[in-house]
Amino acid sequence: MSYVATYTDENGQTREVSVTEEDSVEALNNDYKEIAQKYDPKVVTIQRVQTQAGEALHLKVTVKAPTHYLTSNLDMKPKACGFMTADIICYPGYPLKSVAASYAPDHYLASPNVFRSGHACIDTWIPLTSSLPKVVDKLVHDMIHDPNVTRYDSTANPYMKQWHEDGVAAGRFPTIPPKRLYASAVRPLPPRRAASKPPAATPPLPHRTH
Amino acid sequence: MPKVVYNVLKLSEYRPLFHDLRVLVIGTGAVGTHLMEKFAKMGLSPDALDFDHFTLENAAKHSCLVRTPEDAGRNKAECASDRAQVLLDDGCSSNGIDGELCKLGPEAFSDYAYVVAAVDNFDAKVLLNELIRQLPEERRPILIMDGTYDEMAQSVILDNTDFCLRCLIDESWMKDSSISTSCAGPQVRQIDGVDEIVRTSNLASCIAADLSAEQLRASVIGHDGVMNRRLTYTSYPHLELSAAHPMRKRNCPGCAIHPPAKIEWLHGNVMDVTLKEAMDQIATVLGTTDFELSVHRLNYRKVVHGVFIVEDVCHSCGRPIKVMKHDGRVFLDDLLCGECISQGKHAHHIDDFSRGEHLHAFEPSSREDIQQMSLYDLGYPLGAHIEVIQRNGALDFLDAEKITKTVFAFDGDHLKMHEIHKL
Repeated sequence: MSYVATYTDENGQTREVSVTEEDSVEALNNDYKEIAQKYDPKVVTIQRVQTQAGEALHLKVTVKAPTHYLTSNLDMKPKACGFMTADIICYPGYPLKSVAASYAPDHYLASPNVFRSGHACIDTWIPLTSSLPKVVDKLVHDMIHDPNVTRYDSTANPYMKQWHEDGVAAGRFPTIPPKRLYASAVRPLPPRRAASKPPAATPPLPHRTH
Repeated sequence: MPKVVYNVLKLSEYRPLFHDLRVLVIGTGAVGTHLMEKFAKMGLSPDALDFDHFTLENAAKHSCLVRTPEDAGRNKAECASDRAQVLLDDGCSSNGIDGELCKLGPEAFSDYAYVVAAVDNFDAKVLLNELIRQLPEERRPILIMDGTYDEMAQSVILDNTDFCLRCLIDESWMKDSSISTSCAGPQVRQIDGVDEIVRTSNLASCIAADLSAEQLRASVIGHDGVMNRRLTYTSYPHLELSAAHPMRKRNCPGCAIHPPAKIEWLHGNVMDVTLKEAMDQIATVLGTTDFELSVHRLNYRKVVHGVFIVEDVCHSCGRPIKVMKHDGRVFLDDLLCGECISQGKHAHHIDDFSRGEHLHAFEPSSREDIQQMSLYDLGYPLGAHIEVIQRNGALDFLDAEKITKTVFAFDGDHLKMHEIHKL
């Protein structure tokens, strides 16, 4: 079976694209590898967890940084905490099919872009433009209340809008510099390879023949 | 009404070749009604599928198979099939189905020798191509697509070897594929920047049906050079009948669709078998209950519908409501609670509530009320290819080597097409 979607390129031309199941798994694999290397593991941890029926990949993304949470759909008073965890689920048919992201309903992120049920509002899924790394990036930034990713024009929890704007105006948000989320750009050099055999001694020059 | 008894001595000597050959006409409008009449008189067994109803304003386009004004308001497929009954040869049959193409799966077409797409929108044609391409070659019917443009008529016959139906559709036509179309292009053209509906007459529709019937006739008899050809009739002042061989489109997404490598058969049909009964049969075939059925994926109008909505919220007041439908069969107005319906409120897209419980797969441990629903009510189309996934302890799809997928289908679905009247 294959998955089909309509792709609109940068020139506004639309065309139908299809991916096979193998393509879908390869895309998941590549994108998982990308996010696994992208973030500083001291601040952002990404863990694969057991998938349930209908799921292709289930990740738990945890940010260990100052943040705020709510405890129920009636709670409107953000409380401070030191970490936040989101569940991100990809379905068969990724990347043509959208991913879902949510927080625990009794410990969900206080953010204008998180529904009061704990589901995260991710932007409209555009096949071959939206991707798992982009969703993860938006969520980890949202978890430190980075206003650069906050959509104030489309609020899932309008009661958090003013609170969030006040935090930004007071300089409290983002709670840590966003660049601290990422792993160092300079990767350690690979270990030096052991010499396979000692260098041979320089052979003597040949004798003059005349 | 007594049936017609034809004098076979006055008819084609090849007539026995057509006897009881099953044909499905999708769309029984201007072209489709002419086709139903011709196919019945040729000695075929034509079934019809259409969700629309006859209206008096379109009476000038239909075949005389449809009676005016008595048949106004009747479902087109049921009516055309009903009116064709008296024209059928002994032993032939015709069934009209009031339904949509998106409620059919690949195996629904496997009992037909020919399928004629006389529909007027490209979304339906793209979906039909996808369904036919998913059928293994030995059960794949021959496709005929016809239509009109002004007073021009066209018909293409294809067996999916040289090109597919999707190859014939220009990508630019797909921008607004819901508009009325024919096989020659959108039935809307711009004159001085203003969209104007292309007008066509009963004559063109009748000739399009004639071309299709002629292609079918020649293909049954076995003439050379019939298959994979497009016939085009051009009216006066450039009167002409021409034949062409369309080409395969490069990177055609339709040609990329292939049937499953293997299909396992279940007994019964999608309409009658419950999820529990299907699970039991699958467990017997696989020898385990550790599996899941993927919810049916419907790719229609550029959207992939692939979830079963158990609960959602009222799209007026926001209260939780029980839905129990596949998302491909849910309309916005279905997402209203009883109170809002009684108050005459309208549903609207709301942003401040998230969705409710949506399933992407069914399991043997799914809740009892879901287990007792028929597969059709769970969103599987008649003739579905049902994907069953065994995870075998895999953490997720990245453990690809552990996961096995099997495609199941029902052995009674193709016959159900000749019995059901409503989908």
